[in-house]
Amino acid sequence: MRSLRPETVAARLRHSWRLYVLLLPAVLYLAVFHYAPIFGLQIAFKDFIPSLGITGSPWAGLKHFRYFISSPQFPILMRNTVLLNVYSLAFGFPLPILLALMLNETRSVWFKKTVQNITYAPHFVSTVVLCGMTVIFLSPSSGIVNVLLQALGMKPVNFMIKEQSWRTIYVVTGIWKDTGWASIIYLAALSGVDPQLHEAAHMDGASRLQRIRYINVPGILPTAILLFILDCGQIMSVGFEKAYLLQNSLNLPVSEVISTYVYKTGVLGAKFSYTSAIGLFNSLINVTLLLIVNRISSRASNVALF
Amino acid sequence: MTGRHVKLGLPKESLGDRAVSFLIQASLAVVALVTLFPLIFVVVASMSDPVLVNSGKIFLRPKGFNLDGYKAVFENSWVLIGYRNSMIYTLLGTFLNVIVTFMASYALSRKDMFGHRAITIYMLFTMWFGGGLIPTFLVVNKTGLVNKPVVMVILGLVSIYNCIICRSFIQSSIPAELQEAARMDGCNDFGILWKVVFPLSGPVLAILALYYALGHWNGYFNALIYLDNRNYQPLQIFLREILIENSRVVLDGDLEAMVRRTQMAQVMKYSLIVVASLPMLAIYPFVQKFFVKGVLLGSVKG
Amino acid sequence: MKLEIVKRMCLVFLAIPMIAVCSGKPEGQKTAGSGPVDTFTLMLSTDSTLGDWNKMWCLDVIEKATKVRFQVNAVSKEGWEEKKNLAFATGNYPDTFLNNLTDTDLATYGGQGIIRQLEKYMTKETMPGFHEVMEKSYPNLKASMAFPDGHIYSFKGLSGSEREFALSRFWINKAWAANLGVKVPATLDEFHDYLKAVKTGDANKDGKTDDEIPLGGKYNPQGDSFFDCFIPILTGFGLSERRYEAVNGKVQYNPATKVYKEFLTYMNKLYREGLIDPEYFSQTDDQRKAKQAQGKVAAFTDYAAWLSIPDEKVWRQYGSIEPMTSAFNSKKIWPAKDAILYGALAITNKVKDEAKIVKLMKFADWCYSTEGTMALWRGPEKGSMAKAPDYGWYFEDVNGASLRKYAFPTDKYKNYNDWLTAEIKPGNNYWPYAGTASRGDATDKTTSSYHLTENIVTYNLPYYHVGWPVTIRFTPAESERLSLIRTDLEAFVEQMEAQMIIGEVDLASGFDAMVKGCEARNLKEYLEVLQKAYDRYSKTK
Repeated sequence: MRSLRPETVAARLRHSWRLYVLLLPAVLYLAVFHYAPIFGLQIAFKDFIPSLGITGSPWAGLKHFRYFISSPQFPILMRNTVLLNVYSLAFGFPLPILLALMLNETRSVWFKKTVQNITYAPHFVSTVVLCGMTVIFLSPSSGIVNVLLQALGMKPVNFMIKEQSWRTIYVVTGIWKDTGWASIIYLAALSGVDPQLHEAAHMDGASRLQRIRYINVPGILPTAILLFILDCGQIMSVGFEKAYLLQNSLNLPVSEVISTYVYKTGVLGAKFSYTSAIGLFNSLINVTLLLIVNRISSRASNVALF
Repeated sequence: MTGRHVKLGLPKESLGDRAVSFLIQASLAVVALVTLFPLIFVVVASMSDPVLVNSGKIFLRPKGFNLDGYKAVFENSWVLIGYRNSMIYTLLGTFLNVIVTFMASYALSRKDMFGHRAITIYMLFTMWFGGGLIPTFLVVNKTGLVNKPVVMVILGLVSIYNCIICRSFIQSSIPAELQEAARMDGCNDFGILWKVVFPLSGPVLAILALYYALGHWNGYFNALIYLDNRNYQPLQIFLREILIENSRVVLDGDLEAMVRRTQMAQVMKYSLIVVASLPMLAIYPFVQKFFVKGVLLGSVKG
Repeated sequence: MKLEIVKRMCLVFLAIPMIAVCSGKPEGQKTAGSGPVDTFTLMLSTDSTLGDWNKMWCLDVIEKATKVRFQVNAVSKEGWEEKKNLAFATGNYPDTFLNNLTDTDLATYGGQGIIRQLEKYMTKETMPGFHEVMEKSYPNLKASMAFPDGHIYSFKGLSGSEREFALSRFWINKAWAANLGVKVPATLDEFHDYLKAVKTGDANKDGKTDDEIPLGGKYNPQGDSFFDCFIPILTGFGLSERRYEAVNGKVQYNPATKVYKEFLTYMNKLYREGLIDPEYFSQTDDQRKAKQAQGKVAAFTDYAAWLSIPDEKVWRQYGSIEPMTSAFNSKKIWPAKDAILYGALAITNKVKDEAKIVKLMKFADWCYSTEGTMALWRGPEKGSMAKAPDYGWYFEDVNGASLRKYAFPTDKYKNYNDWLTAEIKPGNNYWPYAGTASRGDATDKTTSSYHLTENIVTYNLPYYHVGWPVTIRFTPAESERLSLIRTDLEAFVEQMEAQMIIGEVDLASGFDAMVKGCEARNLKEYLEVLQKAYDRYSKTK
C-alpha cells in the first residue's frame, strides 16, 4: 500500500519495461483487431442496414433486446441453453481430470499411448459426422442401441424424440468427443509434478490413492480451477451446429437453444442488429457469472483469472 | 525427507495399491473400447456403401467395400489445393502464435509487473466483447490484409484462452526461486525468459502448439470472409462445401447434378474425416514426448 | 489431309445456320456484338462442383456474342451471406450480380438506389428477343419481375418446363398394389387401405411381411416440402400448401382452418396404425434416402422416383397418381408454381455509363435469343469449340428419333455434366435465359428424365393449382415483420402438429390450443401482411 509518488511510478515503469516489450505484439494485435472494431457494438442498438453503414443506420434503442425477451420462446431458450451447459459442465468437467490422473498411473508405455490416442481421436470427428452417426446408432429400426435392447427383450425406443433422453444424448456425445482432448492439458500439468515427491511419499508409506490425492491433484488444481472459471464464462454459449443437427420437431422443447433460434430468425434477410443484440445480451450474462465465480475462487483458493 | 536414509529400491506395492492399479487399468481399457467403437465405425463407413451405412447395416466390418470415397477426395483438385494451403497456414501460424503467446504469458505471470491487473483485464475483456463481423472487416480492410493469404496467419495471432493456460503453467511449474537466482546472476527479464523459463516450458509450449495448430487446421471462417481467391482457401472450406452441400433445391431438370452432388457428399462424408484428421493425429505422438515426467528433475537445489 | 478439309467444311456448314440465326435477329440487335469489349465485375456464390468461373467457356461465348466480358468473383456458398453483406457494408460491391441476391436484398438496396431499376431499358427496341418470348409464352413476364414499388431490380430468365411447376411429386409403388390385390388409390380412404395392405402383406414378395414401409418421408415443415409427403394428403382435403395460401383471393393459414383438423386426424390414424415410418420425425435425410434406395418404401414424395433409387427395375415400379379426393373435398388439385423465373441479372450503381447499362441489357436480351439460350443451357455444339472440336452436343438418330447426345473428354470426367460444370457453364440458376426457347428436343423415352416428365404431365399437370404465387414480393418492412413473426409462429405450430400426429397430445383439445396459440403469436397481423402483398399482386395481373 505504498503511496505512488511520481518517481516511484517512473521507477516501476522502468522496472517493467522489458516485460512490456514482451507484451507488445499481443497488446498491439488486440488493439487493432479487437478494440478498434468495438464501436460495432452499437449495432445492437440500431436498425443496421449494411449499405447505410454503422453510423448512418437509424437508432433503435433497446428495441431488439425487448423483442427477444418478450418472445414466447425466450424462457425456453434460456432454460435449454443454460441447462445444456450446466449438465455438460457437471459431467464433462471432472472426466478429463479423472482420465488424466488414471493415465498418469499406468506404467506400461504402450498401453498409455494407445489409450491416449484412442481417446483424443474423437475430437477430430466433425460435428456433422458425429450427429449423423448418433442418429444412425439410435435409430429405432436399425440402430445398434435398439438392436441390443431388443436382444435383451425390451422394446425399441426412439431416443431422439424423447425430451428426457435428448439432453443425455447431447452431453454424452460431447463427452465422447472432448474428454480425451481435454485431458491432454491435465497430462501436461501432471508432467510437471516432481516424481521425487512420489518416491518420498511412497517410502513414507502413502498408498497410491493417497499419493494421487495429495500430490497429483494439487499439481493440476490451479489449471483445473482456471479452466472451470473460463467455462463458467461460457454458460450462455451453446454451439449452433450440434444442437441444430440433433434437433427434430419433437425434441424442440429441449433442443431449441439461443443459437439455433438466432439461426432460424436470420435465415430470411440479414438480421444483424437482432443477432448482435442477442450476442451482447449473452455476453453480459456470461461476464456476470464469470466475475462472480472468479471472485469466489480467488477468495477460496487464491487461484483466479485476475 | 532429507534426513532419511535412502533404502535400496522402493517398498513393495501393498495389496490395496495393486487393486487400485488394476482397477485403473481396467477402467482405462473399458473407456478405450467404448471410445473405439464409433471410431472404427467412421473408418469402416468410409469404405462402405453409403446406403448400407445409413440403414444401420454396418457394424464392425465394411459392407459393399469400395474406396470411392477416398478416390473422390483425392480426385477433387480443390481438396488438394486446400490441403497444401492449410499446411502452410498451420505451420507458419502456429510458429508465430506460440512465440507471441509465450512472451505475453510470461509477462502476465509476473505479478511484479506494473499495471499487471489492468493489462490482464484489457486482454480478458476481448474474450467476451467484440464489435462483430462488419466492423472487424472494416478494420481489416483498412490494414490492407483482405485477400492476402497472410491474413490467415495474422488473424487469431493471440488467443487469450491459451494465454491464460500458459500463464498458469508458468506460475505453477516454474519456481520463483529459479527466476530470482537467475536475476542475481545478472540476467534481465529477457535473459530469465530465454535461459530459465523457456527451457523448462516444454509441456506448455507443446500444448500451445497443439491448440493453435488445430485451430489453424480447422479454421475456415476467416478464410471465408477475408479471402476471395479460391486458390488461397484452406482445406475446411472445400470439405464443408462438399459435406454440407445437400439437397439444395435445383430447378428445371438439373436433378442429375443434384443426384451427383448428394451422392458425392454421402460417399465422401466419412472418408473426408479420415483424410482431414490424419495430419493432426500424426502430430500428436511428437507432442507427447514433451509430456515427460519430472521435467524439473535436478533443477531445484535442496 | 482429307480429314482436315472435311473438318473445315463441317465448321463452315455449321457456321451457316449460326449466321442465319444471327441475321434473323430482329432490328435493334445489330448493335450488340460489335465494338470494343466492356468488362464488368460479377460476384456470385459457387460450390465445389463448379470449376474456375473465369476459365469457363460460357464467358467466352458471351464476350464474343455481346462484347461483354464478366470478371467473376466466385464466393464459396457457405460464406455467401456474410460476403454479400460485407460487400454492401463496405461499398465494395461489384457491377453486377446474378441470381444470388434475395428478394429482400433487391428490395432494400433497390430502394436505396444501389441496385438499378431496369424496367426503362426493357423496351421492345432495346430488348426485342425478350418481348418476343414474352408475347409467345408468358405475357405477364415483365410484370412478374416487378417489386412492390413498381420497379424491376433483377432481370430473370424463364423456364418453360411444365413438369417443374409441380410443387410436389408423389410416387406410389404400383407394382406392389398389383401384388397385394389392392387398387391404386384415388381417394384418401383407398390410400389408407393401400398402406394397410402394404403393412400387413408381403408387398415385394420376398417372404417377409414386415420389411416394407408404407409411407416414408421426413418431417420438415420449415424447409423443403419435397420430402415430407404432406402435400399429396393435403390436396385430398382441398389444401394446396402446408402453411398459407390464397383461396378465392383471401389468404388463409391452413393449420388454423377447420379442415386441417381432419387432416391431422387422418395423419394421426395413419401413424397409430403404423402406416407412417416410425422414424418420420427423427431420421436424417441420409437415412430416409437409404430406405428408398433399398426399395422398401411404398409411397413417398421426392424430386423423382429414381433420385435415390439406383436400381432401374425398382424405380420403374413407381409412378404418380391423380390427386386424391376425400369426404371433405371432391376437387382434384395439385399445387403448382405460377411461373419459374430462374437465373437473374442485377446491375448496381457502380455501372454509371448509360451506354454500358444498355449493353448489359442487350446481353440479357441475347440470353433470351435462341443462340444465347442454346449456349447457356445446352453448352457448346460439337465442333464449335476451336480448341476442342470433338466435344459438345450433337444429334444422333436412335430408333427413328433424332436425339441430342453429348461428347465429352471421358478420360477426365465421368459424365458430361461434370465436364460442363467444370469447364463450360454452370447449372440452371445463374444466367437468365429462356428455357422456353427450345423445348423442341425429341425425347428419349427410355431415360429417367422422361419417366419423371411423363408422370407429372399425365397425372399432375391437368390439375395444377396455384395456391401461393411465387412471384409475390414483399417490401423490406413487410419481410422483416413476416420473418420475425414466422420464427415464433412456425416453431409453435411445428411442435404442436408433430405431437398431435404422434398422438402425444390429444387432437380434440390440442387443435384448439394450437389455434389459440397461433392467434397469440400474431397470426392476425401475419395474415394481414400477406393479404396486402397478395392484393397488390392481384392488381398487376
